[in-house]
Amino acid sequence: MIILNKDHILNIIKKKSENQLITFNKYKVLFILDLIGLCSDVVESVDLQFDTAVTEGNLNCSIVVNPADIFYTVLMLTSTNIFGECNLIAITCTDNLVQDKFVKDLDKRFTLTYIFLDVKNNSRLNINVNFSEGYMIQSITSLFKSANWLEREIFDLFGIFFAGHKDLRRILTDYGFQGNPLKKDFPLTGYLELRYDEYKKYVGYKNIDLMQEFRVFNTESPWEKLEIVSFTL
Amino acid sequence: MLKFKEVKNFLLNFGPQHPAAHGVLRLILETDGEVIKKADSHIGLLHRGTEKLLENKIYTQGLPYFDRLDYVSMMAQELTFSMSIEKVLGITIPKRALHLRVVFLELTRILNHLLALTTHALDVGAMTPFLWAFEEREKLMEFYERVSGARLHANFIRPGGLAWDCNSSLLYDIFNWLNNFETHIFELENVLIHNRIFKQRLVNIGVMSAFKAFNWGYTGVMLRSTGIKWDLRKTGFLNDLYKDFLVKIPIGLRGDCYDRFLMRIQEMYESCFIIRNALELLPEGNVMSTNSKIIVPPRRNMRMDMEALIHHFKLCSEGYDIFKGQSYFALEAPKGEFGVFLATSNSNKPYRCYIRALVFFIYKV
Repeated sequence: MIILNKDHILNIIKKKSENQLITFNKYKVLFILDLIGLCSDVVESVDLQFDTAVTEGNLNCSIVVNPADIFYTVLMLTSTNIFGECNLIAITCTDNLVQDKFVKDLDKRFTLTYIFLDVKNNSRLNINVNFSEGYMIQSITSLFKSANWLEREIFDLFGIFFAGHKDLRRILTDYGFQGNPLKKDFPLTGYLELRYDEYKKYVGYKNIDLMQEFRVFNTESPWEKLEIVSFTL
Repeated sequence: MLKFKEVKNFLLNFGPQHPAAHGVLRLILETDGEVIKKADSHIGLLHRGTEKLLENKIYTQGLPYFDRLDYVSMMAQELTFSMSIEKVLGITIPKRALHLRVVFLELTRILNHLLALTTHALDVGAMTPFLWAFEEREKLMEFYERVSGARLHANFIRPGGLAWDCNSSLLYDIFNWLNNFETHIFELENVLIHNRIFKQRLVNIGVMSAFKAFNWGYTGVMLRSTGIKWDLRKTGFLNDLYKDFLVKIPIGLRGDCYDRFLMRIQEMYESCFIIRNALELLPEGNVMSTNSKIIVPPRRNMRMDMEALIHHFKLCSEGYDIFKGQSYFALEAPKGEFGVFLATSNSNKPYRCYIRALVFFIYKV
């Protein structure tokens, strides 16, 4: 990584706010976020491995931010135009419960990924946040209206609460549904099934008999791995 | 003496059994007279848990689910999933397969736009274009059937290329169909474009500004109608797919329904142009990558070659592993940006597969 001093970066921000014609630099976002102390880790390796189509001027990278800082990070991105015209593409969540067998530290139970698209520079930025179960993450609905349903979806499927969301209801599951279906400890079949009762003459929910406890299978294949050639940038 | 009486707004339930809601959408409307003041939409009636199912299937088995997400733009979704796997694994695709992918992606776009335009026209009062368009759609689905055996859920585009090659008579028929189809679009356009009733019901309806469109997460035609030049076919994400063809993208001015109608018509013309181009430049060769660790070998090799037989067995029983990481890949589907977020964990199944549904973003508004 290139090392710049603080004054230099502050100058960049000043210039950026004055005129928006500064060419986009891959490291600019990261440095500015780093400077403000928001970005805790840059997932460079993931970016380098996964992106074979990076062309010049494009930023396709993912960063890790502290869960407490997510609102300010997004606010910085949108208000200072560091990241150009910011468009929230998606918010998605991953349940890390069985990522490596079982996760030992449940501080990183969930990973929330905010995917941003900058239409002007044709670049994408993923912001990852790791946090434990029951952590209240701050909602960004005041910045992006599209975050409204996305956060409701995550609340519904993962049971994550968003502080400051005005209308946090279930969105995709049935009325009266219990549990969070995309959590890894939720069985694929669910706990209930819809059935027609011949004697009572009505359609209703019945419990499913789950034959065994929740288990994690190791599906990693001992077969020879694929040789990866094209990951060099 | 005047008496004031408090007037309450009327709450009305719309759907899910209403014919315009198709059994999948329910709205709780708050009405003041005939004006809707507020709408609360319940969209979960068709949620099928695809993302959960994908976590329990190997990558090849997961592919057919993508056909079933939106059954009017099937191949676009298959292509996104396939390409996201290809990007992660770094497989290169033969040129012929790329061209045929473009052909079928654009056919899918036409298939989708025909439905979108004419059912819209049906909803505002024009029956005839609907009947015309469905005749053309039938022909398109015949092409689907001839290439994959299924009218809708094709499962034709696989990670690494295509399931099999198209024969030349099919390509010839597509080429011939294009010539006729352009006159059909022209007829459709002629009926609607200057129609007074149609214009009354579309012009300046559903106006969306560029700023709002960004804030609501719009993509595709909806975003372009507000005057923003953004199409994933033009940008770096799909460079290898579309760089050979001259893609012209119509852009709207006012951001209303009429603009979007005109843009969709124009996009169909453009799609015809791209298909014709792709067919004319179609190279000879293979349609499947030859990487035997991912792609099932051809059947004739399996009879002769022990290694091919083992590969076939391993790929069909346990699939291939993808190392740990996360990636997002998006493609310009007919309705906008269709994206797949893959989180993988050294196993043969996606650890988490998030599917960016387009209508999820558009319905909100």
